[in-house]
Amino acid sequence: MHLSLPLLLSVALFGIGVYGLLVRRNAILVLMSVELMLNGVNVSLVAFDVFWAEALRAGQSLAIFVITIAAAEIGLGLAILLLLYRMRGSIAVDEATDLREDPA
Amino acid sequence: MTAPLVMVVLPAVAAVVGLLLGGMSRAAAATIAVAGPLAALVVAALLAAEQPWDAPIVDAGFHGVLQPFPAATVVDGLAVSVALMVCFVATLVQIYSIGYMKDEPRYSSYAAFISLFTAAMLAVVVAGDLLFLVVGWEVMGLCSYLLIGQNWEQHEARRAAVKAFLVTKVGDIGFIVGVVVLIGTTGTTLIPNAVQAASSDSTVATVASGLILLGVLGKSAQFPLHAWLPDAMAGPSPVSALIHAATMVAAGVYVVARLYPMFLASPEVLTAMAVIACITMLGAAVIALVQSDMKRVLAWSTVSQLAYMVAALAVGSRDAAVFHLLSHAFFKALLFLAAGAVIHAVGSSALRDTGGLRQSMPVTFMTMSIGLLALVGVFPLSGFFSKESVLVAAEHAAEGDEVVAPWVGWLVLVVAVVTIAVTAAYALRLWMLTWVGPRRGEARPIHETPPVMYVPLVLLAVPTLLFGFTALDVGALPTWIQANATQPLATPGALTPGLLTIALSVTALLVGVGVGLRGRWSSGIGDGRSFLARGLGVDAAYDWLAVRPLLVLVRWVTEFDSGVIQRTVSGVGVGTVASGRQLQRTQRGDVQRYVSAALTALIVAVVITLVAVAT
Amino acid sequence: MSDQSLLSPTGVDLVFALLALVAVASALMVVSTTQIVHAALWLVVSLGAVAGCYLVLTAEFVAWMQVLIYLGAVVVLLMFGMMLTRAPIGPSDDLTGTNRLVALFAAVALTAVLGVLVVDAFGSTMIDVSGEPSSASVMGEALFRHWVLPFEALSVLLLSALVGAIALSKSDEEA
Repeated sequence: MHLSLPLLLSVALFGIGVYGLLVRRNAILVLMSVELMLNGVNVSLVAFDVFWAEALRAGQSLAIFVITIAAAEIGLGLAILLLLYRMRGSIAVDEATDLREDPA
Repeated sequence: MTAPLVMVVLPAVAAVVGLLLGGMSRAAAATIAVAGPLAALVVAALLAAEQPWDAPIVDAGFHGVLQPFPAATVVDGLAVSVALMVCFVATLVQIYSIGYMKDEPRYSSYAAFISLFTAAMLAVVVAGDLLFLVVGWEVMGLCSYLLIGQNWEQHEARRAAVKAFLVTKVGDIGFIVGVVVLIGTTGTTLIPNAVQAASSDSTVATVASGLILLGVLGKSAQFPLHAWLPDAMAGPSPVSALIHAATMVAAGVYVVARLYPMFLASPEVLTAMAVIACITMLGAAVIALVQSDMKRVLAWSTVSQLAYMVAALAVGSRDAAVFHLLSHAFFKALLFLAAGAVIHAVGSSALRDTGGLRQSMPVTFMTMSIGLLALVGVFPLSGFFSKESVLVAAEHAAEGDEVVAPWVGWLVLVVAVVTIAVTAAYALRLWMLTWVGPRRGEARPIHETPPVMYVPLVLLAVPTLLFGFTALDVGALPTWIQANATQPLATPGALTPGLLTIALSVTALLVGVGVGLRGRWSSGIGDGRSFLARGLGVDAAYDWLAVRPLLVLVRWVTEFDSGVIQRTVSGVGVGTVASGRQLQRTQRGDVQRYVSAALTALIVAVVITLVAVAT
Repeated sequence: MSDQSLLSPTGVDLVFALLALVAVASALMVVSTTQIVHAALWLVVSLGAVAGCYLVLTAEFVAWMQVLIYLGAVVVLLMFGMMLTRAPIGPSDDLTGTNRLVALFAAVALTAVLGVLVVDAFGSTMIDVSGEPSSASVMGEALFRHWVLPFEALSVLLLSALVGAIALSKSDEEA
C-alpha cells in the first residue's frame, strides 16, 4: 500500500481543520476543528509507525497519547467555554475581543 | 605602612572623619581638624630627626582592592623640609580658622577639606611614584575648587572656583600627558628611575618636562595660566594662606624640583621657564601696585614671588628655589592670615575701608609688618636671604656656569632686581594704606583679634624672622635639602648672598621705597577696573582667544543639536507613534485574524525556505 | 511487494481511499454546515472513517481507542457543551465568520504545500499492511515496557486537567 495515501488523508484533515479553526464563529465548532487537526496528525503518526514497523511502536503510542491529550483538551476547553458563556452570554469567538486596543 | 605614608594618611583620615561626622559639635570638629595636620607635623619632625635616612626610596606599594596602589615614597631632605613646612603652615591655618570661621555654618566640611588639601600636598611631596604624584596633584585641584567656592552663595566665589579649576586643568592636561610620556618612554613609574632615564635622553627630557611645565604653570600660577590665583581671593583668607603658601602653588615648583635632573637635561625648557618667570615676575608686581583690594595685592605678589622660584629653577639652582619656596611660605602665610585678621576686624578687604589701624590691632600690625619686610627682602629677614640666593643663582648663570645661556641669567638678574624695586613700592603702599593715615570706611570700633587668631601670626613671624639665617651657615641648608638625594645637584654654599647681588638688591629696594614714599596712594586707590588692575588684560585675551571661539562653536553645536539631532530624535518618535496608530487598526482582538496572519506568514516562510533549499 | 505508482492501486489502497474520502467529505461538512448539531454528527462520521483507516493500517488498538474516546467521550462532551451554551437548533447563518477568504487561502495554501511535500517525499514509498495487527496486547507491551514514564506523566496531566475543568466550571454561587 502507498504511504502517501494516509499521508494525504492526514494533510487533508489538517487543512480542513485549519480552515474551520479560522472561519468558525462558534467556539464549540472551533474545538471540533481542532479535533480534526489532531486526527490528521494521528493518521500520519500511525502511517509512519506502520512504515517503520519497529518494536517500540512509537507512532501508535504517541497517537494514543495524542488522543488522551485531546480528551483532556476538550474537557478544559469546554470548561473555559462555559465560563465565557456565563460571563458574556455568548461564545462567539469574534465577540471576545477584550484584548483589542481601542484607538486613542 | 611607612612613616611618610602615615604622614599623608593622618590628615586624610581627619578629613574623612570630619566629613562623615558632619553633624558633630564645633569643638569636636575643630579638635579633629587641628589634630590631623598636627599629627602629620609630628611625624614629619620625627622623620627629620631620623636623618640620615638609610633608604631614599621606600617602595611600599600596598595591595588595594583591585591592584597594588603605587605608594612608593621618597624620603630625602627636599621632601622632608617641604613636608615640615606644609604641616606647620597647615596646622597654624587650622588653628587660625577656628577663630576666623567662628560663625561659619559649614565649618566642619571646610576644615575637612583643608585637611584633605594638606594630605594631598603631602602626597605630592613624598610621592616616589609618578602615579601617586598625579593622585595627590589632582586631589589638590579638587580641594582648591571646593575651598575657593566655600562661600558658594556668592556668585563671585562660584565663578572663582570654576575658574581656578578650569585654568589649572588646562595645565593639568599637559601635566598628565607629560607624565604618560615619561612613563611610556622610560618604562617605570618610580620617580628617581624615570628621571634618571629621561635625563639621559634630551628629546624625551624636553618633551616630558615641557609638558609637565604646563601643569606647573597652572598650579603655580605663572603666565599665561596665572589668572585664577587673584580671583581665588573669593575664598576665605585662611584658604588663601594655605593655597598661596603651603599647598597649591608650592606644588608646581616642588614638582619641578623633584624632577629637576630631567629639566636640567633640557636647556630649551629651562629658557622658556626663565622667560615666563620674568614676564610673570615683573608683570604681577606692577599689577599688584594698582590693586584696590588687600588680598588681591597679596595674591599678585604671590604670583610674582612664585616667578622668583621658577626663575631660580630656570637658572639651574633648585636649592635657591626651594629655599625661597620655604621662606615665602612662611611670610606669605603670615601675610594672608594677618590680612584675614584685618578683614575680620574691619569687615572688608577693600583698601579704601582700611587705614590707621596701627593702634587698635598692635599684634597684627607687628606681624604683618614683619611679613611685608620679609616680602620686600629686608635684611635680616628670611625673604632677604632667599631672594639673594635667587639673585646669586642668576649671577652664576649670567657668568655661564649653568646649563642655560648667559643671556638667560642676565635677563633673570635684571628683571629680578627691577622687581625688587616694584615689590618694595607695592608693599609700602599696602602697609601705608592699611596701617597709617586716616581711617577710611565706615566708623566702627576695631579690636585686636582673639588669641586663637593672633597666636598663629606670632608663630609664623618666628620663622619669617629667623629662617634666613640657615643660609648663613655655609652649606647648612643646601646640605639639608640635598640630604639623601638620589642625584646630587649643585655645590653646597650657593645660597649665601654675594656682594654684587646685595648691592644690587639694596639699591633696588631703596629706589622702590623712594617711589613708595612719594606716591600719593590714598588719593587714587581706584576701583580695580583699569587695564593694569585687571591683570594686564590676560582675562580679556582668554576671552578673545578661548571663550568667544568656544561660544561660537557652542552655538554651532547647539544649532546642529536642535536642527539635526533633535529633529531626528523627535522624528523617530513621531514616526513610531504614527505607524503605531496605523498598526493599531490590526489589533482588533479577533483571535482568528491573528491566527490567520500568523499562519499565512508561516506558510510564506516555509515556501521561501523550500524554494531556497530546492534551488 | 513490488514498486507501484500511485495510479495503480491495489485492493487495500482502494478500501483506504474510500474510507479516506468519507472522512474528508464529512470533515468538510463539519466545517461548512449551518447547523451546529449536524456538525457534531458529521464529526462522528469523519472520526469513525478515520478509525476504519486505522484498521486498514493494522493499527487495531488505536482504532478502538479512537472509537471509544473520540466517538464515545469527546463528541458526547461536545454535545453537552452545545446544550449548556444553548446552541441554536436548526440552521443559523452566523456560524461562519467574515474572514472566509483569508481562511480559505491559508488552509488551501497549507494543504497544497504539505501535500506537494508529502507526494514529493513519499510518492513511491510502499508500506506493508499484511502483517499482524497491533492488538491490545502488542500495544500494552509497548506502552508499559517502553513508554511507562510518559504514560504516567500523561496520567498526572489528565488528573490536573480534570481538576482544572472542575475548578473552572464551578459556578460562582457555589464558591
